[in-house]
Amino acid sequence: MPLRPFALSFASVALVASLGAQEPAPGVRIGLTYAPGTRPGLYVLPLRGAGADSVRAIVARDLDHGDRIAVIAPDGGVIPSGPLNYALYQRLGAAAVLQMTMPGDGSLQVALHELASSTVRNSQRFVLPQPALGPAWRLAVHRVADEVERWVTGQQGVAASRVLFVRGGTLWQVDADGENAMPVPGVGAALGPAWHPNGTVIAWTELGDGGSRILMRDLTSGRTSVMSGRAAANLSPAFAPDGSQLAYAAGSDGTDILVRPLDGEAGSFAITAGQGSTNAQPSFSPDGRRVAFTTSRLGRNEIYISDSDGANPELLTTSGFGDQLYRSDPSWSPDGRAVAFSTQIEGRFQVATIALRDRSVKQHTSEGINEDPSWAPDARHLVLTSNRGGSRQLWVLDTESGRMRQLTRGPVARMAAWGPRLPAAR
Amino acid sequence: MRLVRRSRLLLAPVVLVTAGACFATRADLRIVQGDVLAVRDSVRAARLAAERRDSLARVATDSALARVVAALVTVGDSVVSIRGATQRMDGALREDLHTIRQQLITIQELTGQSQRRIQELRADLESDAADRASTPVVPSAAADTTRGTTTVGAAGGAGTPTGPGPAQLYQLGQDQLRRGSNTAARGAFTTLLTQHPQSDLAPDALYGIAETFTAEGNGVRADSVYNLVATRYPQSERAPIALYKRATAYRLVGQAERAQSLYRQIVETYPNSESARLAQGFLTSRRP
Amino acid sequence: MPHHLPRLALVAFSLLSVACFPKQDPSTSPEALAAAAKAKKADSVAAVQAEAARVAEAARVEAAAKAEAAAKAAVAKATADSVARAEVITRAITATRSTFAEMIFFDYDRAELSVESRETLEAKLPILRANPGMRIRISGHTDERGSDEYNLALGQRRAAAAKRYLVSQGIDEARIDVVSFGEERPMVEGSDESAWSQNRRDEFEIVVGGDAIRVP
Repeated sequence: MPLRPFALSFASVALVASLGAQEPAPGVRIGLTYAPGTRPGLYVLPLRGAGADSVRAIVARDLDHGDRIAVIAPDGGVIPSGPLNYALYQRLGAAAVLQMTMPGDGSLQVALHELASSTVRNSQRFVLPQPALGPAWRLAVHRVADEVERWVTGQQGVAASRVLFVRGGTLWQVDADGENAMPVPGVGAALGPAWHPNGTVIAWTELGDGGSRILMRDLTSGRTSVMSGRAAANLSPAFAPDGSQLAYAAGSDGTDILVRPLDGEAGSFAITAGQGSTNAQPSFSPDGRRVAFTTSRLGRNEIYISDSDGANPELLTTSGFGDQLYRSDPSWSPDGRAVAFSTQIEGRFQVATIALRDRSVKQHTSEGINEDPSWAPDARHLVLTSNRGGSRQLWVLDTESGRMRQLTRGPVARMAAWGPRLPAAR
Repeated sequence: MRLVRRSRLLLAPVVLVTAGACFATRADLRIVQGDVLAVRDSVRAARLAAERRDSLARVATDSALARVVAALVTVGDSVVSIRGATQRMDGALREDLHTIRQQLITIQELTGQSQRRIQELRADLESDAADRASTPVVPSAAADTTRGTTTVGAAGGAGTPTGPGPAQLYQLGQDQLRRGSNTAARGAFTTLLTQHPQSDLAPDALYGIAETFTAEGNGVRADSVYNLVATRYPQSERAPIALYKRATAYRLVGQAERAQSLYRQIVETYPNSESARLAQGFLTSRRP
Repeated sequence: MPHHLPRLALVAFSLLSVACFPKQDPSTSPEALAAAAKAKKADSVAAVQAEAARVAEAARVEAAAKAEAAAKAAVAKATADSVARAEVITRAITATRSTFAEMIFFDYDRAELSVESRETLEAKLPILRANPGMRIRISGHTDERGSDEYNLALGQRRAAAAKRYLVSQGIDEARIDVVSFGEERPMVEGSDESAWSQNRRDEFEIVVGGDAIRVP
């Protein structure tokens, strides 16, 4: 490959710029010192107290689900008294040790020991709301795991988040670790849910005998409002990243994507001019300046991106892959770098991602039918619907390693939307 | 006439009976009765004949009418059937038209895609040409034979043998813009405009510069450059988009009237553009 | 009344002949005989009267029975007739309903009407025209493949295509509602082409005016 001096100079400028952006402030180190691309070993010590075993099990499992840390947490194990024998844990393959203690005041004291430097790198006290093992308590423990993941890898985990989905024609939610699966109370026939970035407001498509409409609910107050207008079909709501606007598809023949402020319908406007074609499933880029959506304007179903005011629409999935027939369900990654989508490959749907920088496509699934991906807040994991276990269930995919874990069990679950990290006060 | 005759016929037996009442025999009576019956029969026959004449005439009229009615029904049927056929054809045509319109949109979209692809290919071509132009030293032993290639490559690079071609510059600017390197992107677009002012990519480059200002949140400068795109290259495809961008910016900062006048300008000046279709939505949605 | 005169004459003659008949002598029969004869005569008169009454009664009963039977037969016939007529009407209404409800089907990921679909829609036009008060709902459906949300939009386009055609044939668009159920209400469960092809459909439903449907 011959050199292109001009291009190269620009590329190097960009590289330096992007490196500069990611470089931490002086004196602050992010994560343990470990070889990139490997998972540092973390020994999770047992602890004593009310629900202590559950705390250890939950934290260890959350860290394992994060796919960035190799968790070492053998059953039983000895609770050490006095200073830790760092050499012992190093021989077991650990780069760090997680020590949790319960002082008995309903709090959890957490310390991260770095073995290479033989020091306590991080230490923090967390409050666990009672009763032990209740939903709020579990959420608090998940938050501990997410923080530990940040201490170890520099990236906060996503265990303290929930996934909305559709089961039996209505809305359900489940914690990111697959626990606490339950219906969202008071919701009727529902499809295609969406999370507000604040994690306390949701929207969904309500399908009735006379048509469909968009409903929005404040989970805290329980207040529900109708967001769509008079069109016969209203579907696929999505909140803008700043939380001020809602986009959805509406129409009586084809559908166009409308954007409206959350308060007051007056400012509603269309960002597609589909002329009878289907335009649906908007997904905003994290900076809110671009939108990915599904359109049938090419005859077949494809994914486009445009400016969030509708200007400069452009086919995103041009690359020669799959059946060139049907692509849908775009979900813009929270880091802005890729769009996940469903694509038909040899007659079956699979989940793929396309990098926005060079339009390179990566297929992530091949077993069974896999579709409708939704990004976790870490921009690394996707929740999707797969029939690989026999019935349609939600699965979590690690886009880096390709590892899949089943999130839901029981009756058919689909149309998942992974919510933001949940705020502490809930 | 008939009445007079009938009464005379009836009068005859009466006179006879009264005259010969006292000496009449049973046989005489039978004769009289026979006469009476005969008279009655003839009366009835006469009446029947008259009626038959009437009904014959009526039948004739009726059948003529029926023929006319039948003809009318036939005509009516064919009118209905023709109307049905016409309507069916009309419906089929409309459906076909709808399909054709959809296909036209598809073709427009595909044309747009192809143009973008051609643009990328041109950039690649130019960069290949530039590569060849910048590395003629390598096969220096065969300088005579490579000179021709170099010249061809330079021609492909739009007459600037030393620098990259406009397509390459534009692609570079786009890439930088996409990854958020606004200054670098602006540099590439500016180079394109200064070195290749006549390039058909000039409006796109100017639009690109405006985009870099938008990305930096510099609304004022972005607005003035968008305005420049629309005034300097009014025939360009970028012109309506630039106006639309100005309108969006005004709308977002609450200057609804300026936004409205720009939307109106787009609809009136570039009625067939995508921007016009989007702008139309703003005009209608603002209507009370 | 001149033609009544012959009859009058005949009456006159008969009266004359009665007058000329010789009278019976009452002295020839004794009183006892006369009494016995009288009693006998009374008996026989009574018997005759009884017999007459019996016959009359029998006749009356028979007549009544006959009348009743006739009435019954008439009622039965009328009932049978009306049942038959009702059956014909019901059959016609059922046929009309099923013609109206006949579904149309689509190709995968398409919302265009096939020639066959147009013919199926064609057959519904007379029914819609004969029942101007009728309001209908067209619901679009898809197979299970592909995006669940996109399918909701696709079903809408399928329903709208049928509506567009009916409107182009002169049916008032205000009479037609369209709705999409996407892949949410499959007609046939299954994950093969035979199930899919039956699920890619428009259904037709009468919303108002279905109870008193008029046969075209």
